[in-house]
Amino acid sequence: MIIDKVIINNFYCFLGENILEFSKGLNIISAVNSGGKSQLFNAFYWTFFDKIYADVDNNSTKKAWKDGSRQIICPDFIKEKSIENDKIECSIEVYLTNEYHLNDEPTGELIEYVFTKKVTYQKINDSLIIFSKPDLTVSFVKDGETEFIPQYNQSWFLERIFPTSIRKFMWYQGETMDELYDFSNPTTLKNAINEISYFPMYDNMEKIVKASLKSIGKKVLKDLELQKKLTVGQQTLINEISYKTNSIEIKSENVTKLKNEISELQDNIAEEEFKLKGYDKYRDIKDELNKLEAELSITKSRIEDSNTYIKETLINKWMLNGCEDLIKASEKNLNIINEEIKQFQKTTNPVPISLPGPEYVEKMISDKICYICERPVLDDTPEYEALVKRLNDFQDNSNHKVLQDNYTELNRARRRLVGELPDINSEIKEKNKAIDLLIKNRTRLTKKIASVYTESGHDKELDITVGASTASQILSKIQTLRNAKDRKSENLRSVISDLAILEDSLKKDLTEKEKALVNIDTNSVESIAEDYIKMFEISIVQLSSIAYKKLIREIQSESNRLYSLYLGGKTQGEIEISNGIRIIDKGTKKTLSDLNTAEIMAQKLAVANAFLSLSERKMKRAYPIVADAPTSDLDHINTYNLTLNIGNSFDQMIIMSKDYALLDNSERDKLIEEAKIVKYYEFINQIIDDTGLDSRANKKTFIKIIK
Amino acid sequence: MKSLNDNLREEFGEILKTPEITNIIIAKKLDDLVISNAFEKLLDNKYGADDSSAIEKGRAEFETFIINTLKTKNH
Repeated sequence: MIIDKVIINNFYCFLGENILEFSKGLNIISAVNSGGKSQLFNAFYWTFFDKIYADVDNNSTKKAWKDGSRQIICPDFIKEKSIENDKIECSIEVYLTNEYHLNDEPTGELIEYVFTKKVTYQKINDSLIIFSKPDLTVSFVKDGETEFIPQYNQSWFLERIFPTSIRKFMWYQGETMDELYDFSNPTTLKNAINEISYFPMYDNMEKIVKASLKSIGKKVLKDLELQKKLTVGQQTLINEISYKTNSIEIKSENVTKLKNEISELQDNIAEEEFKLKGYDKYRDIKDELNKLEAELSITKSRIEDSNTYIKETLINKWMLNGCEDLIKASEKNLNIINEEIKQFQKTTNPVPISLPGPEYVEKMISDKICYICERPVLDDTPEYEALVKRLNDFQDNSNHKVLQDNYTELNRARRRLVGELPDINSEIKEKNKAIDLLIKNRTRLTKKIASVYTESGHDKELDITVGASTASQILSKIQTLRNAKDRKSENLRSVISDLAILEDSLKKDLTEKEKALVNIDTNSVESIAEDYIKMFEISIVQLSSIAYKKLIREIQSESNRLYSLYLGGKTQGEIEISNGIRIIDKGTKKTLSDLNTAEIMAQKLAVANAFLSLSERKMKRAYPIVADAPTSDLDHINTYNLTLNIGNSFDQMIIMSKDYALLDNSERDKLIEEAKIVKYYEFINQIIDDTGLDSRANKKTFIKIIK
Repeated sequence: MKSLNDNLREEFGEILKTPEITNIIIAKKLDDLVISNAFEKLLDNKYGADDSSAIEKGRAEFETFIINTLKTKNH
């Protein structure tokens, strides 16, 4: 297939009619950033697949594949210049030459197909609305008549010329290179292999041959029965074989049905997983946001707790007790008590312990007699005064004791409080330090949450919540499909096991039958035909298995050839295809990890290109490769190597890159010659009106034909 | 330039040359021409694996061709 021409009429940076012609071989579009490369890629993609790689939303610079029918593709210049109610038509026409398809079998006849996609906008209230929605027509001229592929057949036709399973290999963007393929899913590899190989055909042939074998077997037996050449024992054996054959047939049909159902479920899973691609990022973002918000909430709560703790500690230990005042007051009171004690000690005689106690002195005063000397003690006498004084001494001593105790107690309390003060201070300092750290963490988390929003390209939580919810719904559907697939797979295993037992038993019966019928004339046409068909059955089964192994070897070899070419022979390892695709060490054959981006990019590109290259060789189906910025991860010399070598592998390649803009004229001319570049365009996005504003509404892409 | 069918014929031809298949051909005295023509019937019906009616059509063409060719040969 060759893309001959594209006519771009009012599409983003392409103003008015722009014609780009391409030829078989290597076609290069060179442009610096914003030159219009990606919009050329979008022009193709919008036309064929109704998708546009555009900003996630108006407030974002993040890009994603978006539904093409909802995008406004009209250039800003035209939008600004048009007046209210003006109608603006934007269109793309792609001319490509491909084999004529009436059905799945290409006829070998080459036809130029014209894909025309048009959309009309109307300016209302200073904005553009879709007046007539994007519409695709596919036409071709056959036998002098212009014919159209009906709309209901367009998807089928597009699937024939750009099969989904290898579409990504022929249309790729540097920015989405990591999505180029995911062979961790075995179905992806199987589908891609089916697309470039004969396997579906071998499968089909095998089915035909097996059906023939069953049919001819029945005919042979019928013939023998008719000729009445069988004994009762042989007839029983034949009946047994017939019964088992029928059971096997039913079980085989069941196996096929289950396999188809499983395959359909796998396709559905793959489809849902593909849908998820647009939404899983929301789920990841939402998960990250949830995690960050939970962490933020915990941090805030810890800050709150710490503040509360400090307050409570202060209140309990400090504020409520009025510790500072208490200590100050206690100091003063202690001094007073101390003075009192001292004073007391100066002025009072201590009471000798050997003398009678206060009760005894009180009794003596009351009885007016001294029980020590047994003399009367009259009122107002010196003896009486002495006893009263003695009683007062007792009172003073008691007071002194209380004072002393108070002093001790007060002093102890004061010492305790003074002792606790540094602890409270250090505890508060420690807590404040922890709070500072928590506040820093809170600030970090708040910033991180803001950056998650910025990086996601959304400033509204709702967008992310809705996206995440859609992702969850898709995931839930995927889970349901996986469960259904697991159940079917379990069922399939059981049926296959029963089938194996039956087949084994049938095999024994057939061997017995061979022995039993050895003396019977089996030279009927049906018997001989059975010999032919048996030979075909063995051959086709082997053909499929051998061809598969051979194909894997070929893909691997072609991938490694291209991989080496793209990196100028300086690869870190080699590509291995077996249960997935990986790069292994050339010596140890162990998987290499932590490869640089250029290696990974070259590997992916090489495998994808190997698939297309083999498709061309094996199936005689050539696809163009249209690549936007495939070399962005390569250094200068590898870009050069890739350009020199990539063109040789395919019928047609259209490469768009900014890397070629770095070349001066002589380097560029040298590259054109060495790489056998057939078309070379330079895109330059420039101001239209020099006196006007430096605005996108005053710019367009100019196309310069270098070759 | 080889066509898709040429590729398929070539791979089938290689299988026929393997000892296992060669032995069957010799032992059952199978005719090379019948084999190659019958393979053409398979090639005619190589598409449509998902369609049971296409399988049945293929089977009928393939089987009938072999039987008719053998009948013609016998006469």
